[in-house]
Amino acid sequence: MRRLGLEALLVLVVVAALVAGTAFGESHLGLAQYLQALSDPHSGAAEVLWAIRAPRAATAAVVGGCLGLAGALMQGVLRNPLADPGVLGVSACAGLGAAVSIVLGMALAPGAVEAAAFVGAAVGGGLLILFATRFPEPEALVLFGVALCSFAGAVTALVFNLSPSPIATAEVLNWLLGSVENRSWSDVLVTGVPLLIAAGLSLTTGRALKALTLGDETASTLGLDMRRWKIVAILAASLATGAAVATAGVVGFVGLAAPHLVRGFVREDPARLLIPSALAGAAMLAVADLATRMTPTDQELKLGVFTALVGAPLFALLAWRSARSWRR
Amino acid sequence: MSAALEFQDLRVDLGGRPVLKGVGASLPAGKLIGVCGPNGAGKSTLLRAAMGLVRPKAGKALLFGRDAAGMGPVERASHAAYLPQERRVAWGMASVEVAALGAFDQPPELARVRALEALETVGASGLAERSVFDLSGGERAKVLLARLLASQAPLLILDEPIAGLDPDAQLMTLELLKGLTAKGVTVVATLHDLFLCARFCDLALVLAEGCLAACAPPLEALCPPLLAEVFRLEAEWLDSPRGHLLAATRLP
Repeated sequence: MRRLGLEALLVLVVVAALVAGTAFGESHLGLAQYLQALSDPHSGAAEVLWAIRAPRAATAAVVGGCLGLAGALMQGVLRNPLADPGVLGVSACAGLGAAVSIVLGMALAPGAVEAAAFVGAAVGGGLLILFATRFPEPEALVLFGVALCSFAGAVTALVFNLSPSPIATAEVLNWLLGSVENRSWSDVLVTGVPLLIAAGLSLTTGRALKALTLGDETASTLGLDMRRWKIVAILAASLATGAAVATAGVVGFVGLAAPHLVRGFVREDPARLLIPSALAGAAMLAVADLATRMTPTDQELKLGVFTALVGAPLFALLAWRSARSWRR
Repeated sequence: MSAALEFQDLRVDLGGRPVLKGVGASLPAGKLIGVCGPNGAGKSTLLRAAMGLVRPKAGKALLFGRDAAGMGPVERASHAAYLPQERRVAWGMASVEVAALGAFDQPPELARVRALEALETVGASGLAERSVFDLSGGERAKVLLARLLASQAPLLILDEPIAGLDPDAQLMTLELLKGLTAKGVTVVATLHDLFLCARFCDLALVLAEGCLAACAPPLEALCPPLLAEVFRLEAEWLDSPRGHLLAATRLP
């Protein structure tokens, strides 16, 4: 009951964030215009609310949900509260896929960049799975993930370096900074379906994540095929990360922070953490996107820039708190 | 009597180095068996091979007559439960949740009931709802022991179950394990305390540099010549009203 209570509360928060994300924005609307948007679907105000703001807010929420879920999965698999999809290089691989496709001039074909980002995430996730089946230790997987992340970053830099067109370079950079500007309902769908699949997969891994609390070797003596469940968990995390990066570019730290926000409410149970973490991520990113829109700057703040600016100090704070608890 | 655990010429290499060099022993069901030997003798590796956690280079470890290396995780868990030396717990879950991991194959409600029973058995009922992060080392050891008991497996394999515990907790643990053997459970535990091994165990399996040095009732196995050769101790067993005591000095 308590668990459903938490999830219901988080759903309410997500809904509130979506309502706020739809109601508020750069252009101020009067009460009459809000009423008009609700009554006349062909009015200008309705266009702003339902065709611009609402899908944008929903995209932010779905991307945040992907990142929150992927973060909770990665932290559970690695038994490390500081892990997130970015740390293991899945985001970087997806970013690399997108960068290559843009520089090769594929940006004109609809969905090509997104597909390339997905392929990048799949390759990154596949490499992680290959590695995880051979070396089960979480430390080994973290080190491999860091290497993968650096390498994907280096190849992305090489793409910049060799890119013949400064316009393409600017486009890649723009994309890598992360944004949900001008997203439509189809983006919500394209990200939402993988999120639902990943969430379904992740729920089957709950028992394994719980067993991993005792360490890899002991978990495998409890009667679970740990190798198989780890593959499913990494697959789900890669799918969610790929969907998020394909739609919004690289948005960091949500995957790290969302599980932390709710971990205390589920008594640190890594299985119960999954769905609340996805919901917390959804709420966080919807609010963060609203904040980027409301911040009075000449150039609109990029979502990825904003989350990194807020997230990096938060990461340091979490690391500091963790380090203090280790000393106890 | 049938063997709960049997090693047949078991050879294990770790990192290219031979750790077990052909160990053969048959451990009867319903007994408390102490695995002794100096550091690096291969005790932990022997237990891990019994659980199918390391692949033998040659030979076999048989759990109730079946090759441990060829068993699936579910079958293995139904035969044996394992308590590693490492007591790290990754997340600060409630103690009862951690103990319930032992009864993983059961529905959650039943697993919880078993966990609470096991916590009561180890004298840790009061810790049930506390986070394992807030427990002392000894308290955490009790919760992890309860996790093992909650499995209700017919064979319990424990690596250094009393290391780092105070005397009361050491005796409590061994009395508890001894009590389980009366119910037909087989318990195999590595022990560094030869005196406690002699007092509680039915059999002592002594390893020396990856080879079997002895497998017999403790006072027979841990005889002065063996203590001198394997442990480099000049030692003798003394009778006392509370059992046998070991008086020992290091050999030069």
